[in-house]
Amino acid sequence: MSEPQLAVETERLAKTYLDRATKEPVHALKELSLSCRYGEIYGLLGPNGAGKSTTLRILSTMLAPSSGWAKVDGLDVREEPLEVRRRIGFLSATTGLYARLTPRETLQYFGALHGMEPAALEARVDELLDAFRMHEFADRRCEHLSSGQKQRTSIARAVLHDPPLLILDEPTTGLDILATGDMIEFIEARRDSRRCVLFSTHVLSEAERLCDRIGVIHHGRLLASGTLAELREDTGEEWLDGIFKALVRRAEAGSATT
Amino acid sequence: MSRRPGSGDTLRLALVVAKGEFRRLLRDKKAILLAVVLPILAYPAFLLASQKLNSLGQRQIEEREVLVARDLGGLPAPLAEAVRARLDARDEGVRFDEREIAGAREVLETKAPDKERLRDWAEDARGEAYAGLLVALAAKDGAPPALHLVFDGAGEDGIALSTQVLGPLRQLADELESEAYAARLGADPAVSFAFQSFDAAPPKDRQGLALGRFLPLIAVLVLLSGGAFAAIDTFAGEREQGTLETLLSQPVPTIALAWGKYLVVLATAIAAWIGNVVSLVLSASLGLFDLPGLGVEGPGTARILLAGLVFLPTVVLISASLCFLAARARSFREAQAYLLPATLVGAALASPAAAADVQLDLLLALVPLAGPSLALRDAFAGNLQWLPAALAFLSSSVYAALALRRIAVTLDAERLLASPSPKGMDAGADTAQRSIRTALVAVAAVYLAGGWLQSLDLVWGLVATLWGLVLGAALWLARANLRGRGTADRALPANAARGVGPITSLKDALQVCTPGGVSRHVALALSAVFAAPALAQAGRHLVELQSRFLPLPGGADLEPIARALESLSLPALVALFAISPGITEELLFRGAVLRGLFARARAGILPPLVFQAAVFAVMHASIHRLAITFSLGLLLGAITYRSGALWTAIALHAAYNACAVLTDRVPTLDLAHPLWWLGTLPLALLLLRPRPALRARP
Amino acid sequence: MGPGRSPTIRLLPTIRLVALKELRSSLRDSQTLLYTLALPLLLYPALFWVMIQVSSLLESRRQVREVSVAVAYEGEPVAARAAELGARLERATSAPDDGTEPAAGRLSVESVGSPRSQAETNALVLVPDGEKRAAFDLVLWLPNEGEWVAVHNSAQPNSALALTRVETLLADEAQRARREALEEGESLAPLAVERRDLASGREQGAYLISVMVPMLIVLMGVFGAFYPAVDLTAGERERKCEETTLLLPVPRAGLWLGKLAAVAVLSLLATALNLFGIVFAANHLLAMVGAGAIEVTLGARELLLTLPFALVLVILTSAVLTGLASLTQTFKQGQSLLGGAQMLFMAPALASTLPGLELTAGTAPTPIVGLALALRSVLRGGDLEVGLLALTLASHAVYALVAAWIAVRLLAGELHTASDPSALDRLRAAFMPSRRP
Repeated sequence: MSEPQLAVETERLAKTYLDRATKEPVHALKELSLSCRYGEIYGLLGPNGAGKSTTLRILSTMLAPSSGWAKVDGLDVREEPLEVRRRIGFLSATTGLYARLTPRETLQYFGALHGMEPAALEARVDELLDAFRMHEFADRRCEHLSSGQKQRTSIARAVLHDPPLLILDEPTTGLDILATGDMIEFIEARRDSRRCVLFSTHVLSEAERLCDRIGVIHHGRLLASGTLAELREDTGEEWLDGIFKALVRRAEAGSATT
Repeated sequence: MSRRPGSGDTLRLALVVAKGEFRRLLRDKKAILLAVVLPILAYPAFLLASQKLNSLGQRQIEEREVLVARDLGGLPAPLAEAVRARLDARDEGVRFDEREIAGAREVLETKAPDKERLRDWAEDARGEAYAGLLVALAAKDGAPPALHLVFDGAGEDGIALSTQVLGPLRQLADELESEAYAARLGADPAVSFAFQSFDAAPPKDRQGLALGRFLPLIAVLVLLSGGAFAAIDTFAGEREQGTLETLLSQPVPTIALAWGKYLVVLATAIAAWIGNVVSLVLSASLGLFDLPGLGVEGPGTARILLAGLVFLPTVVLISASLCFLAARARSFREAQAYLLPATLVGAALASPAAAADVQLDLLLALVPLAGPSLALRDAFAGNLQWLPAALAFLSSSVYAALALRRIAVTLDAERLLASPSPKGMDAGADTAQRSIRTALVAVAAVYLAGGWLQSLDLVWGLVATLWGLVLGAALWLARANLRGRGTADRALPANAARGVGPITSLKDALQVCTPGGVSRHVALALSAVFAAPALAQAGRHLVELQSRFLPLPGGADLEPIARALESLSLPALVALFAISPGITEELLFRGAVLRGLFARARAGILPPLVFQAAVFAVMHASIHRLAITFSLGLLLGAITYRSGALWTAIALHAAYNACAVLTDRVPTLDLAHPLWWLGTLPLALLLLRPRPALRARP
Repeated sequence: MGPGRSPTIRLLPTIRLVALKELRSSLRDSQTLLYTLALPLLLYPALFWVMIQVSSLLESRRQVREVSVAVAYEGEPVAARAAELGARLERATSAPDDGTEPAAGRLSVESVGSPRSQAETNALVLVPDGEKRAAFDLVLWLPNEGEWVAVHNSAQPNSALALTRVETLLADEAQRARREALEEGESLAPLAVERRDLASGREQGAYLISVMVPMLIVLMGVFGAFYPAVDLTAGERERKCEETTLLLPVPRAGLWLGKLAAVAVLSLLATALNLFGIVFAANHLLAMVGAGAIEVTLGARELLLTLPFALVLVILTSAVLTGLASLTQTFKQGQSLLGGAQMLFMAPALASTLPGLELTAGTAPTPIVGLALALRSVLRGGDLEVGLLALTLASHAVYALVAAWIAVRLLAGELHTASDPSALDRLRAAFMPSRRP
């Protein structure tokens, strides 16, 4: 790879549904353009229903964009979904585990689906069990695990193939303090290994602490994107909640005049 | 790294998925116990219990005594003695009480007795309750003396009585008649036609047949229930568990996922089947109940293997259909809800094999489940016909392959994950969906409510069906399609090449506008009237052709209908059977439904035409009219599409029906003359002209 | 001051309130609606239709099949007789001039010239090795002494068909031979036997109903309770609504009885609709297949008399099914367990179809069997055996109450968490109050 590639790049990405009840089109995403680099943690910040999950699902090839394009590691999500999926790890708050498989079996199963060689897979699973301190429950069925243990299993599953891009959809929702701490440490560790993490959250403090750059998203539009410092400068507000409110005000004023 | 996965990869990944799914499935011990092991134990228990109950009932029947009052006063003494001897020789449940029954003879001679009368007769005998009367009437006017058995057929006693008394009496009468012939002619001519039957079938074949007659039904039921457990767990259960998203974000083609899961369902279904057969055979050999066809020598390995082979594609088909149903479902419960209808349809299709005299022929071989079931039976009986069996094998393999292809489509992330309808992006998809649904509901309504109305009064019921139900459905659908077209429909451009697209007005929704000018449609409609006789001739040829391999079964009683119609005048008949269906059915099928289907941008031309013709054919509710109504529907649909409006189809449909009425009523009109074929020319020429563009869209 | 003691909440209003809420939420669920409404009204007629079409298709295919029959004989003494039969059959089976089908169906007759033994004849209807089919579907063989023998091969569909066709053919020929021997209009029949069935079409219909419908009512009572039972117990647990329910400041027994009531009402609704669907479809079907004389209708009197039995039945089925469902954790498990438990009701429900079983002091209190028999006698019309019916009703009411009590005990267990006691433990706990904390 001669030139440094962007981990994620989207251009005028849009997604429109037809609402079943009202029969009116719903614009979940409107012309969203963003980019993330390797070695960067990018946070998508916004209230519930802003379009964060839709963006992340388009990037993980589970939904198709209505218009615009999105590239992961330089590959179009629509053209080469399989190759894109090889390069990402995906985890969301609603992701479940197979209740009747053990964490070790879960990792082995998904490793096999990634086409890893048995020996390499074995070594990688052991490595992950070490890294996430999973040995004591590695052979217990997932249905009997605590929520923190489940969380660690899910994370290990997502990074099993050491993806260059990790997509996390509200990863800390529903976790207790300890588990949240684990998750934050984990995300920071990914930056150190020059990977890209794209995650969505509505928890402002998390974004402030973790993110290299932040994208603020509201009603399917990207209102602003940049480092915390840039955002502070842009809005004149100190903390993220103020920044967010200022951006929303500005966007509403803008849409009122046009 | 950027290598595309080949088919070998797909298979390898499918096996990985299958392995994982198996592990998961087998770990759920409770579910396996309840869904697989319990039925294996329950079926024999159920059979045993019903057999015990049956024998209990049988014993009670045998112990029951039925008392009949007998008055043989009308018979000559020797004949009465013969009757008595014959009846009293039997020691089964019926007992006779010889007594005179006052007035019975007079009543039986003149009119039909009623129950009151029977009760009167029965009660005047010392408080004894007689279940029936046997009264002899003397010979009269050359007619022989008659024995009347009076009973109440709506009760066990009456039914038992009639079967136990009438048989011996008829046999006696026959013997006496035979004797009379012998006395007159020296020999009874009928004797030389008496025969007994001898079954030359080898015991192995006979047992194989007995086994093969009920195995297909059991196979279908068990495969469905056993496979459903796995199908629902691997497809709908995955979704409920929240792991589907994870699975779909793996770098694995969806087809590999579908195949892997499918393999698990297939294996579970087969395992359940084997388990059930073993449990049945075991409990039968332990003497728990009788299993027909389990003789000293079994059917033999060769036959079992052959039977397994011919049924294999059906096993694949059943599992694939299960996966398809389960993958469509959004939850475990929804998947479960599809199961009962599927089971009932499966059982209905597998049932022909239970009749020993139904032969596997080339037509039946094409019917899914029915053909292979018959082949399975024949394989067990040792008389498999190779050609139809191969056809059954091939056709069900094709069905199975089609079903398998559908599974991968159904495992589409877009459909499964997005809660709002993603179809909104295809203009008019909702409109098309609504049209499909309305057409099916209309068929059900015509079948149920219309059938009921017509049983009350044929003529007015038909009027109400056509002008109420059919027209109502057409208008409702047109209005709903217009209102519900949605902003998405309006926003997206129509498929200009096809010349159909979003619905613009109520007239458009019913296809009753006049693109290309009124005169064009008047000309078309007029020419359609002249084309109708030729079309009617073609229809007759089609029906004749069909009757060669699918004749109307005898015994269909059409007389009441014919009688009801005789009273109608010719104009009334034409109005009822030609003009009414011409207008109302066209408005529904070629109008609202076809237009709604065309509103979908991706639909193409042929699928909507075929669908509406198929529903139109099904509405006519008979397998014997399927081909003719389907062809007619297809033709009318094509004409409507080509002319851009409904008028021609209405005229042609009405005139076509009128031909049938006129042929029947006006014999002087020779509609079967070959020259009528020239009448099709104007219509054909007019239709050759290009289809006019639809009106400008707003 | 804390909140004052709330006014005592009485049991019945609680039951009513809970039942209404459960009913409302159940009837908003598309699955429940599908099972209680759409299925009975559409499925049965559709199924009847499919059955008619399938049988019509089979009958058509049967009609066009031609079977081949041979006439053979054992020895020369009977050769002439065999030849005569052959000639007669050929005449009878040749197609009429008007182009219609011959009355006996398509059947070709051939005489097999030389005499042969029965073993040789048998070989004619068997498929020789390597051949596609037998020489004939059936052979009428005349031994030197005695009657004709119709040699057939029951394992061959065509041979089975040939046998039925030959039966009618020979019977017709026998009658014709007798007629030919006599003068025109003469008869030698010494005795006529007449069947005088006094039952009207309606009464025959009532009989048919009384045989089939009790079993169906029991099955529908079970099917109707099935989904609600699982939904309101294991389903509730899965949806994590159990805690919310248990927190309500109402007597627990009222809560559970309310749920049972909701299940029972849904089951009753399903039973009624199913009954309607089946009776409607059956009527339709009978008219269609030309058995128009039999009328299948349910009168108001029968329906009214059926109601108390149906009510007791649905209370029993919903209590049993709900109790069983409460032993399971997930919808899936509940579903599988009840699938097996249905059999408990199905086998005894067959009682109504057995002519020999009657409602007696012995059968009346037998669970489900008595109910099915009582329903049968009610539907059959005529005089009612009030004592026995009351006995049935009373005994089943007792069963229903006991089942409801057990179900409430089972439901009233503790809140179930992930580490649940096994079903056995819960059963034990329900009946040994001392072991419960």
